Amino acid sequence: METAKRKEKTFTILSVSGRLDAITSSELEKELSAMIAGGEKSLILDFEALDYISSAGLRCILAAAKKLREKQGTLRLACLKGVVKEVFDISGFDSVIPCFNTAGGAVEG
Amino acid sequence: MNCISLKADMANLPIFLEFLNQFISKRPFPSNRIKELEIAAEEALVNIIRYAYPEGEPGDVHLSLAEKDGQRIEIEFRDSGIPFDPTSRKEPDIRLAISEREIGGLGILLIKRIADGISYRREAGQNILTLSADAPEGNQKG
Repeated sequence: METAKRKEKTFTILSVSGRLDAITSSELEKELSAMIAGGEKSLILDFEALDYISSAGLRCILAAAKKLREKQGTLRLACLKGVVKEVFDISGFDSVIPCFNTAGGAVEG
Repeated sequence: MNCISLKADMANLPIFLEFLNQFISKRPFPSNRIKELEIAAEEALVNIIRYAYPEGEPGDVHLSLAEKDGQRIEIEFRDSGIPFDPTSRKEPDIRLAISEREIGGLGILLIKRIADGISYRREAGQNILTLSADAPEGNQKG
């Protein structure tokens, strides 16, 4: 799992690539917690290059969404595809966290 | 024999999944299906690693893989931990709003949706969970 950060308008876009499994998800959880604790309120997770996600990955995304909500912040997801999209469909997370086809689309809302 | 037995420790998770990958990749499953089955296996293994044994005293997890009649593969997990039947768990309500969503049970939901078949039995002090995946249409040997 690797991440890369960029700013677009008021949003911080965090690209997550590789695997979000029971081992790597804790790294992302730490990174997201630090960003939110540091005042980040408008966050997009770009999953264009994410190959794999399990419930541990869903757990850390849900945790981030709840933390942001408490601070009146926003979490959006972009570029869900393949098996990642399927996992979101099965879990119903795609109906509670806004998903967009592209990171640009997520910025525009 | 296609089986592997290791301590129920998170450090062994990648070894189990690699073992599964090696087995499935030799068979005619599309790459997406292989990833799905890897996710289902991860969920089953993580449940065992986290909950089957008392903390600090991990027992073994036994993973065995078999091809049945050229029609499907079976992925079997065995542990000697506390009795746990994932097939009897209530499914989480996936329609709840974000503030009410709980994460428990999602792993089992993924297993159920991904596997073509799931069965559980408790036998001789062991939990035995078997997932099956049908070979893709057109690749089944009659």
